[in-house]
Order: sequence, then structure tokens, then C-alpha cells
Amino acid sequence: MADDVVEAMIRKFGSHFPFLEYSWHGGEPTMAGIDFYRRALAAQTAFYGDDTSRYRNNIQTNGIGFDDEWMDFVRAGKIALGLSHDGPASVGTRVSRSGKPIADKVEGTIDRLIERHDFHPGVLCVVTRANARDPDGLYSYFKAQRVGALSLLPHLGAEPELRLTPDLYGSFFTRMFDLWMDDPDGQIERLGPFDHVMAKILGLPRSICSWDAGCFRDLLSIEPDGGVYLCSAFQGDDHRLGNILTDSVADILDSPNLHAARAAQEKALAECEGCDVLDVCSGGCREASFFSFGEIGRRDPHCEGRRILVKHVAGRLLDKARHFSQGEV
Amino acid sequence: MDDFETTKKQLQDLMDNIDPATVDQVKFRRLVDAFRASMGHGGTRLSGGEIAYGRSYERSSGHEKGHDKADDNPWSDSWSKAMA
Ligand code: SF4
Ligand code: SF4
Repeated sequence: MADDVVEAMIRKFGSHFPFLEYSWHGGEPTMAGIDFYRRALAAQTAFYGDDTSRYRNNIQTNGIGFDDEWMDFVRAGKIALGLSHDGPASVGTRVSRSGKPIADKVEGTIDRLIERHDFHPGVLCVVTRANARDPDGLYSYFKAQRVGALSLLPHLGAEPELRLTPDLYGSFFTRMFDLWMDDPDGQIERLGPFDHVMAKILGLPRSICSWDAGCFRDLLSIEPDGGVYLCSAFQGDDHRLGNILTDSVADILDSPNLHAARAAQEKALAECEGCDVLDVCSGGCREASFFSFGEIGRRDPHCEGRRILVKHVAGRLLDKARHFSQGEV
Repeated sequence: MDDFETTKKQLQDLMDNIDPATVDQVKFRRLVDAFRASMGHGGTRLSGGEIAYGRSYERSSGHEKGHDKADDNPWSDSWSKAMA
């Protein structure tokens, strides 16, 4: 991404929105080099001045080549760090360009972050048919890795052979919840998406896009050429909203493609009408619909699994609440 | 009220009457604490990374233990209004 794109993004969106979280994603975002981020942070300081309450940064990296210089840089710059890591080499699907599993490199990065900075990073684990078969093994693995938080994201991409079946979705996620909830060790402080699901069941204000009908409302994706898209899952002319270098924010937000996407979201949500867990599930992810059905305006393909998950979590919490409530032990 | 609504209601009523000090399970204690704080009964609000911002991108897992406080949640309806 060229410096003029970064500068336009900060200036135009920063002028329009009261708060922004800059999520630096890739490909692999560290490939841009530390100097790129030094300039980006300087551009933010130039725009926002001392008012750091109006923005935050996070970076989502595969952790390869994340050396001490990178670690010191993100810590000093207060950049929230997430590692993409799908489990041990035997079940993780991430590989290097030469096709070798990269799990051991990420493990080394986690060890070093803990050793050097006493920092237990959050890990984003894409759940596939490969690593979902053994939830107990996967939970033990991440616990042994001493990660501070774990977010489980069902595989949504174009490879159908990796996608979870509804049964596997339900069995994997409910088992992971039980393992985490019943683990007396608090090392993995948060487990996503359950932290969001529990909060929504209790009416607490926290959620992520896929559990809060956030599509086409809370996120915009900016590509290196300045192209603005619905979210990073959607590319191509049908999903392009404009270009930050040449278009105003008002025009981008009035783009026919954004209106069409929101109409498709409404259509998908209409399919959820009458669902008993709608206020917790919120209808899921349109990327999942798009990759499964070829169109955005369809119900989330993990619908059944999501319903099982929500009810399982609510049931388990109710059991615990009964157990611990006064006079009813 | 359907079954799920009943479950939620029962849960919320019970949660409000649990003394976190009596809960010896760390995950559940944190939740009780957070729930009671949201009800204005003291306790500790949930904190950390993406959560503190309200609605975040599910492909980001950045998290620092105890780093962000929900109290200084900068997210508000004004963002959604600006997006409209
Ligand atoms: S399509 Fe999925 S990943 Fe993109 S904003 Fe919607 S829920 Fe989030
Ligand atoms: S469980 Fe299915 S029907 Fe219900 S809100 Fe979620 S996706 Fe829609």
C-alpha cells in the first residue's frame, strides 16, 4: 500500500468517523515491512495529534519472521497483535510458500513473545474438517502454547473440502465450549465466539460482526490500490464501493454496491425471521453465504450449528447459575 | 415466551443474585462479575482487545490481557450513524 493511500484513508475516514480501528491484514501484513507501519503510525499522529482515544491499531499476522524488532515495535506502538495459527502441524492447514507446515515457526513466536514481553497473544484459529475432528487435542495444544485468547473461526473460503458439515460444526463448537468453560485454569482468558455468545445471551454489549449483523455496517476494507470494498472477504467489481484516493467518503457510502449488499443482507435476515435464537445469533456471516451458495442474500450455511451452539451455551450457563445461586446448591 | 426466552430470563434473574465470591470456577466467576457490573452492582467489566470496541472484525484476534477497559469504549451509535 502506497503512502498516499494510507494518508488518504486516515484523513478521509478519520474526518468522517468518530472512532476507527485500523486492522492491518494481508495476505501477510508484515510483508510490507516495519518502515511502512512506522510511516502509517506517523500519519495517524499527524492527523489525530495527541488524541489517541479516536483510533486503535491491530495487526493479524501468521507469525513467521516475527522477530524481536517486530515484537518491540508492536508493543511500543500499542498495536494489538493477533496470530493466525490453526493448530499443530499434524492438523493445521497453513503452509509456507514451499508447502511446509508453519506451525513450529508460530510456536516459536509465541514462546518468544511470552519470554521477551510476558505477553500471551490472541490466536485466530480457522476451523476446518482437519482440525475439528479432535477438539480435546486442539484445546490442550493451545493451552500448552499458553495463548491468552483463542478465536475459533469456521473455514468459509472457496475450498469446499475444508468446510465443516453442520454436524461437525455443532459437535466441535459445543465440545470446545465445555472444555474451556470447565477448565479450572484461566490461562485462555477468552474463547471466541463464545465470549460474544455468552455476552449476548446475558444482554451485555459486546460482539463481533458475524454475531451482531455487522455486515456492511461496521467494516470497510481498503486494498493497496485504494479500492474500498465491503469487507476483506469480498473482492471484484460487484463489491467495490469506490477508491479512497479519488472518491469522497459520502460517495463511497452511497455506492450502489453498498446499497445492493445491504438489501441482500436484509433478504438473508428475512430468512431468519421467527428463529428463537435470532437476538443472539443475529443471522451470521454473508461471506459464508456467498462462498456456500454463490450469493450474499442467503441464510448462513452454519445456521443449524449456530442454533445448537447458542442453545448449548445458554443451557450450560443456566445449569451453572442454578448451582451457584443462593440457597440452591 | 418461548423456551429460549424463558431460559435467558431465568438465567439473567439467577445471575443477578449470585455472589461472585462464592463461585469457585474462574470462567463463570468472570461472567457473573461482568453481568453484575453491567447491572450496576459493582464487579469488573469485561475487558480486552476486540471486545472493548463493541462490534469488531471476526478475523482479528488481537488481545492484551487487561489492556482495554470497556469503560473507555469509544464505540457508540455515532459510528453507525456516520456509516449510514
Ligand atoms: S461478511 Fe462475515 S467477515 Fe465480513 S463483515 Fe460480514 S460477518 Fe464479518
Ligand atoms: S440460527 Fe439460523 S435462522 Fe436463527 S438467526 Fe442464526 S442463521 Fe438465522
